Amino acid sequence: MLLAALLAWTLLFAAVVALFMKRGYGRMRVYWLIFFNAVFLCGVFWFFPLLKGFHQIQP
Amino acid sequence: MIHAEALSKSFKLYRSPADRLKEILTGRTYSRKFDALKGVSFTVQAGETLGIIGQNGAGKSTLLKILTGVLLPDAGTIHIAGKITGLLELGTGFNLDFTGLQNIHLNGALLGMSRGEITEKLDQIVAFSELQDFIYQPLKTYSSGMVMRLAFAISIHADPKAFVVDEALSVGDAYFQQKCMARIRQFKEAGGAIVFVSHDLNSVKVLCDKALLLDEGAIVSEGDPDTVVDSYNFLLARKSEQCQKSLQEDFQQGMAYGNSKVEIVGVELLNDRGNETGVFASGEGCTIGVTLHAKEDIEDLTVGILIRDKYGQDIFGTNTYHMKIPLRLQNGENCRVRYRIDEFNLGPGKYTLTVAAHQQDTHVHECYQWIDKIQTFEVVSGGDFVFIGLSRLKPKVDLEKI
Amino acid sequence: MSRASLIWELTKRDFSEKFAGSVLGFVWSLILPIVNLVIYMLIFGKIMGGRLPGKSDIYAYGVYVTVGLVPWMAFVGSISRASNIFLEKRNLISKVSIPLPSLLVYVNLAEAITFMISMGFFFIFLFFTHHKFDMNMLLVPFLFYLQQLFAFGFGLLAATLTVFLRDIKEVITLTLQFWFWFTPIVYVRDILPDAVKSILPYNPAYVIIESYQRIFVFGTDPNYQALIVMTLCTHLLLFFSYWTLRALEKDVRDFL
Repeated sequence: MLLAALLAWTLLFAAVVALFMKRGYGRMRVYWLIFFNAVFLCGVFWFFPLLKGFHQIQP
Repeated sequence: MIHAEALSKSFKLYRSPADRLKEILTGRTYSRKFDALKGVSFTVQAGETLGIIGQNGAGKSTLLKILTGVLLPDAGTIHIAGKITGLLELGTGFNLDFTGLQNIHLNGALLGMSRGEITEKLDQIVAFSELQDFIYQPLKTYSSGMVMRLAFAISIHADPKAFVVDEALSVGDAYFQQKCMARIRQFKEAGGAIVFVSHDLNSVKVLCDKALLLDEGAIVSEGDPDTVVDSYNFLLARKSEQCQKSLQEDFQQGMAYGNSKVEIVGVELLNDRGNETGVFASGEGCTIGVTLHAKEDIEDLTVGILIRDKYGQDIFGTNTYHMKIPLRLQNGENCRVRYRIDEFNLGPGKYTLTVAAHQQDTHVHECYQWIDKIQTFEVVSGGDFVFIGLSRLKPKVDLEKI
Repeated sequence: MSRASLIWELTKRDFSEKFAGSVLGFVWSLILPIVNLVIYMLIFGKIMGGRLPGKSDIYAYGVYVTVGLVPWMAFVGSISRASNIFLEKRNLISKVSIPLPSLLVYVNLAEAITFMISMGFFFIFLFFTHHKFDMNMLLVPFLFYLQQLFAFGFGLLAATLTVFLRDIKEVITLTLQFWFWFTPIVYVRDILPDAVKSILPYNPAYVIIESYQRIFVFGTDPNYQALIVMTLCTHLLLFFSYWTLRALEKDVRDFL
């Protein structure tokens, strides 16, 4: 369950990046990528303990 | 296809790269500015070949580097509809320890090919380079011609929309050069744009649809290749005139070799029509005039000329002693020696003229004055007679069936 | 797409160059991590008898050293190689149009591959010594990603500045030496004086390495809050480094 959530989140991030690279956005692109990346990693470290807690309560 | 507008590039010359950081931090200037390009604009349409000519340091290589994206311009825009490759990158990123095959993969990636593209075109690249037997050998076993073949094969198969051809193509054997030229022509017919940079004015005339002449970072002439080549010749002639003046200045400051009992005060190169020039067509007439001034009574004077090519090899030299013309001058007297050459049968290229005044047959007896490279001139091919090499021998051909 | 294949080719070349001409070739990049692992486990754990306070397991110190040193090597390798990469590859940069950050990506990727090989063997070792596997180990790839992002940002800044001032490279080497001894990797945090302990949380390497240690050695949760703060700081660094490169790229290319 935890693994699936992590994978899904990573895939979502990869999809956003791929879509973004395809669309271009010129010279500001890299700054946007840095921003997405920050959201992605913060998300991992934020939700991981929450999900894990949830997981442990489950029988 | 290629559209460049108002490209400018200046280099700041620093004593050390650290000065650049100092400049950012303090806001003061620690550099001298050097303008390499000053507002260059041009367009190359699909299927068109643009020739760029100019002397060394005129900004050609800076322009090429900006075209290929290696340097960034200070101002101006450049738009290329697709990829640009060329032999500028001849063997860049080639690793001598790797096999030809591995180098194709790496070099292809450097030229912006994806893995799929490389795999797809691998056979074509190998076939074109004709290196089937060597492709699994490390590159260090290749000759320079073979490396060039591989490099050319990769860059033309990288599917560029624009291609840069420069002097690097002259490596390699004549057969492969022909093959490259044929492939380039094919590329052009398929709608590719070509930028051709060369010192070989003839090939610019033959291959290009239009040309531009760069001098000191600016376009001084553009349009039809013949016109542009003519203005280049004119530019060269003007520059060599200036060069001659500065040489004479050097010489007046006592940098000449000899005892100065006789001084060489002037040298002139005249064409058929009696005009002074720095450019001759091979086979046309030429007159080399040397003006001398005696500072003492001279009983025995020999005046010699010597033509050397760009490598400093003696091409032709003679003097009045060998031609059995005795000369004597009195103190304060001037004279002019003219060598008239009806057919100036040198091959195309750059040459220098050296003149000397001395005793007897060579300057080792007593040398009055010897001035190296007092003038430079260029011979371009002319007329209908086509040949290669340093001398224009004029053979007659007999055909006899036996 | 083409940029990805460029980075991949450069990485491949990096590995083959390292072992070019040797008979075993790529196998060496498998042998070296194994040997290192054996050294950490046997020498530090068994022979030198290193014990972690409060742990009786003979491999505990070995594991502690491994989860500190393996990521640290990748971190240091990325930064120190990156700081010289523009000068090292100047013949490429001055001939073909190549995006400068992709050179750093490939350095980081090469270090990541070495890291993954080492960690692969490490997990095999853990399996055979019946080490307790923990859910938190799922975080390792993300921790590593964060650490390499930090190395990327730091390396990019260093690489840009080194072009102008060669001394930066030496300064970096020296800094990394100090940094290593300032981070509890081969020793434990408790032996440090209180004054040093109090500034330790501001050491990014400590935040990362401690997380690995908590996950593998102590079986506790990493400090998530610290990791989030570290993520934000890392991205600020990335932003700043990239902005600096942008501002100086023209000069970088001119100087090479």
